Amino acid sequence: MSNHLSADQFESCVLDRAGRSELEHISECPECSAEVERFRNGLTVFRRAVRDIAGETASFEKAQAASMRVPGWRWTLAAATLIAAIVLPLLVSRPQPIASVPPETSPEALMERLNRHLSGTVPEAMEPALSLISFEPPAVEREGVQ
Amino acid sequence: MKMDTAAGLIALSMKSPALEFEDFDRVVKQYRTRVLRFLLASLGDRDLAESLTQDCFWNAYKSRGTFRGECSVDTWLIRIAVNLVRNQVRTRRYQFWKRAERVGSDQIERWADRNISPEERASVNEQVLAIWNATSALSEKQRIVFVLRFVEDLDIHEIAAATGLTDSTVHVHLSRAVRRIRKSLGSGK
Repeated sequence: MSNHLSADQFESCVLDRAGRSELEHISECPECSAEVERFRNGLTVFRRAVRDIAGETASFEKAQAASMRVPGWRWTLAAATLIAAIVLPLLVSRPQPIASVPPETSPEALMERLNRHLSGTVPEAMEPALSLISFEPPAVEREGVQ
Repeated sequence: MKMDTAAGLIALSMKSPALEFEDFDRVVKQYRTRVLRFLLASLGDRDLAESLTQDCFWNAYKSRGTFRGECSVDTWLIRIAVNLVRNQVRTRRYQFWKRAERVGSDQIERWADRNISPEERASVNEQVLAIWNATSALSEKQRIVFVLRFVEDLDIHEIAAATGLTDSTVHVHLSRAVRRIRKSLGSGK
């Protein structure tokens, strides 16, 4: 029979469930005490390693995400450029307002224009040609009448 | 609002969607490293751990309405992560990933870059690598409870809540895990 901790007792010590007998044995047996201590240290170092490696991975991911993220001022600049690209051509080619729009907005003026149109002897398109024809009778005829 | 309490998260689901999203973002920031750490230690695969961390928070976001605060947010997230590990192990995808990038000795060697002597560093590396390799030989349940206990520092009740196992089953898996690791390290009988 061994004078050292059994596998079950060893596990109890590692899992912080050691009873009185195990604790007494550990305090008296330097070999078992050293082995439990060594195993626990190994687990502590393992925990630290995993935590550090995971922390490194997380910060690497964060740095990657940050490098892929476009800074705010760049978005602003891109938006301003886009707006300028859309608005500037519109401003340049904007039709000039017609300066001489007849102010015939009152009902009387419109009616007068309508009457003039209806009483016209020739179609509106021909009206410029009328200016070439004189409706004044010749001077001889006028004199003869008198 | 304090987000590390269960009540905080329950209150989230009653708020406007925009605010809810903003607060969930805070939950992600607060617990991301922990979830990633658990997945990394359980699977030993950095790429897979990162991918499943995203899945974990996406699943949590989708099911946030069902969270009623019976456990801490921490435990709730770990429970989701445990299910992801189980699913992963059971699919063939894991076999593919097993061949992909894993946490290897080089990463552990880089880790031990402390203010210690080269001899000590070599000893520490050897220790960590031996335990790391020993955990990969554990069964799925043994590895999960081992990681939750010795990496995440959860007690038996918390592990039971996160895994859905009883306290006594957790204890049995934990004892077997310790025994197998001790044996792998060459000191167990």
